[in-house]
Amino acid sequence: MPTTTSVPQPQAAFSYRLEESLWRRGRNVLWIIALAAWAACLFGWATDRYNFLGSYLVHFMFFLTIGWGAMFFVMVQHLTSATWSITLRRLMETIMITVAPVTLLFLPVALGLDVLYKWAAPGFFDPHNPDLAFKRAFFNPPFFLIRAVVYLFVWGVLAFVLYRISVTQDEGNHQESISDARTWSAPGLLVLTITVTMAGVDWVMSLDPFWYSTIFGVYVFSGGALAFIALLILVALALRAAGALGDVITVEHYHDLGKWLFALTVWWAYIAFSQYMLIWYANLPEETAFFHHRAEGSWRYLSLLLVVGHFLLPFLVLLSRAAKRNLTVLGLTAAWILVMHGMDLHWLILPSVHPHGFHLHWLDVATFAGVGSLFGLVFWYRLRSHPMVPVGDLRLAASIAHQNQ
Amino acid sequence: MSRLYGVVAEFDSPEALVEAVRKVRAQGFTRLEACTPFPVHGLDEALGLRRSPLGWFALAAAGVGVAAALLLQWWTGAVDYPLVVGGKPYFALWPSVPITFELAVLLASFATVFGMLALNGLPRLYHPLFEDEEFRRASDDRFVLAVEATDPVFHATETPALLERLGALAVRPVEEKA
Amino acid sequence: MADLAIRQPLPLETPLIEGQPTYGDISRDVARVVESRPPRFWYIALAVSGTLTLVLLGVLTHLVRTGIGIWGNNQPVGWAWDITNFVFWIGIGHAGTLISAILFLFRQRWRTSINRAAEAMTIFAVMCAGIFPLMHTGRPWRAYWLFPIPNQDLVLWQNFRSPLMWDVFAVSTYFTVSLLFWYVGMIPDLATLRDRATTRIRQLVYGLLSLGWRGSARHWSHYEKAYLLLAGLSTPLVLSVHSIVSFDFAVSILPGWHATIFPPYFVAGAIFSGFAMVITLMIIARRVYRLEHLITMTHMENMCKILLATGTIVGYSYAVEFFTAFFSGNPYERYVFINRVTGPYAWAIWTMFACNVFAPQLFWFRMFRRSIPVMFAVSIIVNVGMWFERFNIIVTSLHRDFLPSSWGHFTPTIYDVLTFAGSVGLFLTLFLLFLRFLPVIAISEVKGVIPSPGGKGGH
Repeated sequence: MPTTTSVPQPQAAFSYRLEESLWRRGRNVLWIIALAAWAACLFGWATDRYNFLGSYLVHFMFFLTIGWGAMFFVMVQHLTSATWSITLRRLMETIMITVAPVTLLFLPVALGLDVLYKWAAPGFFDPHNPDLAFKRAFFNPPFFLIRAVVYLFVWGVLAFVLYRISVTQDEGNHQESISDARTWSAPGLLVLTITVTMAGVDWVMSLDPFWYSTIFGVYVFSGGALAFIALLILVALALRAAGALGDVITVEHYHDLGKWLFALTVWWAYIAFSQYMLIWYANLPEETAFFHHRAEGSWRYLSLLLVVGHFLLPFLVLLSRAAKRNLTVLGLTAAWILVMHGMDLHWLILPSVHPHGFHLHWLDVATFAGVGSLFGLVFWYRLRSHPMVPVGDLRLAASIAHQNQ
Repeated sequence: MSRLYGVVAEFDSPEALVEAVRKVRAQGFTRLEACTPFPVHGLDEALGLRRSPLGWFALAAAGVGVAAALLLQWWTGAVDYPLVVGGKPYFALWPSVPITFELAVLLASFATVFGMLALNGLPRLYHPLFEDEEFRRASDDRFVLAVEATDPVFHATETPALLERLGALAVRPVEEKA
Repeated sequence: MADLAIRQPLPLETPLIEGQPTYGDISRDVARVVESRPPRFWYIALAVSGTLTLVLLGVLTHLVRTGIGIWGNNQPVGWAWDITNFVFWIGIGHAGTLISAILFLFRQRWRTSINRAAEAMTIFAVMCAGIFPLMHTGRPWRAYWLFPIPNQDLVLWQNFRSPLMWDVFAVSTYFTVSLLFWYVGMIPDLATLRDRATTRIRQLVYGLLSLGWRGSARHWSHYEKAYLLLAGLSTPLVLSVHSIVSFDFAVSILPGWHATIFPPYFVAGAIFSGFAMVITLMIIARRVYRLEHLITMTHMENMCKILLATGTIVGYSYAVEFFTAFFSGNPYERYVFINRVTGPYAWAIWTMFACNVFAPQLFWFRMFRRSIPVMFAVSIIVNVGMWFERFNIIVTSLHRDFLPSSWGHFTPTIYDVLTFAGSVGLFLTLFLLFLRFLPVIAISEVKGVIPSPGGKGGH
């Protein structure tokens, strides 16, 4: 995609691009992983559809929730006109635009509906029970798929439009793209929140067709936002290691990202605690069933791991100012949080597939690599097509010079 | 009886003050007090102040709060007078979280506020600088640098002259009541 | 990098403070409010609010002498206006800490003009809130039973597993920390008032209150750290307080109360109502004391945006609750929500929807966000709506229990109305006294966001 031709200092914009040989190497690696992983996925689909779909949904959700987080932060950034994060904005948008291929990646879930979701079997909800009338109307394959198409369409449009607006800014119309971005972001956030909640209910909560929790959408969204910040830190650090953007994403920006990582860790814990404690306290069998499954067999250890690993450990580490400013510590914490986000999704989804205990399957690796490599390829191609910082944004210099007090 | 506390120099902008502090420190002065109507960034570094240790105070107090709250809830509920209410266990971690959190925050806030006052030596209603009638403008629109007479490099005539060369609007000696 | 420097100078944002005042102008403009005789409006307002406060004292005296039976509470509606008012006032008390702490952490510098008044409002609102559960205990002189103080009357301990005990800890911590935060923030400004004081009594009072503050660099260094820490502590605290208030309801098994979304939903509602109250009070204060150049239209517009955002979150929570009521397949859960929109209190929930969800939608348009009459009207509408939200949650969930044999109806008595009106009077009285005697705008903070005469821009 040809761009930046009219940027006043094209040679400066050029320095915000990856070295071509490095980019090619990355691309080749991603393609090799993608081909190998999808071959394995196809094999899994053919031989062990049940396990395949469980693992696939986990890793599909893993990358999708991160994409939601990216979309959320890009829009919040536009609405609050925060200066410090301008220099990170293009990386955020490049992660955000990976949501575009979701449309295709949802296909296996759509095709495996009857394997994955118990309610997809005809007559699952007792047709004579009037209390289940709503469920019957809501959970049937055609309506489910129509809703899915709507969500995917909405996310695709939002990601695409926000990305477009930002790259047009590179060509020089600063003020106009800022106001365009704001115009889209306010209703965009609303639509995103609603679709994310609904998708959380449809794709994850309905694995247990009788369980419900009003906070569930917020829970899934929070985990995604946290994982997104973790991934953003890792991407920036990887680029830094490759000799790119080291001068524009300074330790001050990492410090602020670390604060976000900390805040969202606490926020996630707050939401998780609210859900668990309220259900524990009220002790209604129809609600406690969810946590009861997750206290059975080896799922119990995963539940404990989440308390310690998803909250306590990162909380204690990130409390310290020095840890947030030490790129090694921050990078390790971010990587750990990404792993925990994966475990969180395992914990949400897989007890419906393996009721008796937690176990890692080779298909977990294959589906992670499969979905991840496609998200990665989109990211990688986008990363080359535009400068890696929003060079057209007049607040960029102020953002780069940002200092914490 | 009164003796010389030092000299004060008034500046009209934060930048001028920071600049003056840098230059005065370069001359070897150490006993300086810079007073401003709002926090001026760069002044801490110019004066060579260390980072405030208040964060540690708060952290320690929060730790005490957590321990005290858990102990209180466990001991009263499960040891001293165990009583079944609403079919709940005598003591469980999750319903203990709210009180534990609140007590941690309460003690950490006390540590922060009282620690700040202690580190600043407040309340201290009398200070020699208050003897200077014009010093009151340091809480309004003046940026004041005070050089104490006890500074080893202090000189009763040369120091005021130096401050004037640095662009002070006014330089005055301040007497301290004995 | 070098080329980027050329592409400054920027700040596209409009200046936060209008008319390019000097540091001296800001001290003078804010101090003027406390140093000059108050305008006639102040005396009239104080007369009205003072009268209402006397009404409150009268009603509470009658209540203590007679018992809480003078209120309309009954079986099954054991919590009614009293707890509605409690949650209402606690909610209002959330915007102050939000503005001081959360907006501070997010580096939203526009907060400096409004944080002081919002914090004061927080403290007064929490004081009003405290009255209701205290009186509802029936024997307020035994209030010390709520704290784990060993005493002769009780042989057993407080039940710390009860969310009502969590509330005691949360609200008292919140009050204490807000008070500290407010006071610490005010110390430098009290020193400014001390230094400007012309009468002996003012010198003495402001001198004592400012603790000998000199504004030295050492002071500021510890002070800023303390302020940052308090902001960091208050942020989770403010979330926890309304979450714990929501636990009072949500830990139960009552349909309409037991919902996992309650904690964040209550927090959003609290911020929403708190901001509405800040808008109402600031519109009056900036007008009466001619502070329009310090509390500018940009400040007002930003608050309208927050009102829109939080109002939409509240709307989202309503939607999720209704959706789940049907989705759950639980007939009791479903019934409560059908009863809310069609039952005897349907008028209350439709008022709530109209006020909380629809009215703020006007703020999608810049025209309305910058119109003082519109924002004044909407802010009051929102406060009415948020009161009704709590009324709906409490009364409609209680009045029709699981079995029709335990159904009932709640009608407020004149004492319910007078207690609430009296608490409004107390709130306004305290706020008017604050306007009269304390710096209504954070002088030292505003000075930090205006351009320096030294020419390098704000800090």
